[in-house]
Amino acid sequence: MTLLQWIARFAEFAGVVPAIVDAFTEKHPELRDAPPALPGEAELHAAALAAVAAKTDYRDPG
Amino acid sequence: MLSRLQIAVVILAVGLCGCSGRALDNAIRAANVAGAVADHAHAVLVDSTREAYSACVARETRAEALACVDVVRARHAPAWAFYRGVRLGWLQLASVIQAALAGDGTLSSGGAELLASLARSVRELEAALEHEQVSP
Repeated sequence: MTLLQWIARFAEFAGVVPAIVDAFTEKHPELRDAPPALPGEAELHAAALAAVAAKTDYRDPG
Repeated sequence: MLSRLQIAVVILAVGLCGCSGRALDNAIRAANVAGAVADHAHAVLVDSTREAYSACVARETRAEALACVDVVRARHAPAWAFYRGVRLGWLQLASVIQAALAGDGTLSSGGAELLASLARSVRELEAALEHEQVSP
């Protein structure tokens, strides 16, 4: 068994995403899509602020 | 959270680029591995950040909720910054790879440095996720 086969076996055992195993075994690899940009930190923060603003049952005085 | 194994695989993939097979194919493999790890990191970050913000929204007062949102944003900011660094590194490497694919198939001289830089960025991202205890 080659080194790469051992790596693939351990990667599968550890539940590593199949794409990683595929990357080693593919004969003529094609470049995958870029990692996602959205949602990003700013979008999640804006959504949280909107959720706070929309909630009506807070107990703040006044 | 990214596992040590995933990081080791990325580092190994980067190392293989210089010692076997066609350099361009191996650079694509390394970029694909780093991209898969970045995908996983993004999913973990989105889930953990959303979960933390949801807990903030559930606070009793609006003031508490807003203060909590600020704390959560500050706590997750380093990991998000490292994720953006990994994504930028991937885009730069992909640009070099695509230029090679469009040309004579030879990676430019900056390709190896971009690979090494991307591997460093992935390690920094893992450390940030562990340090901030950002996990699903």
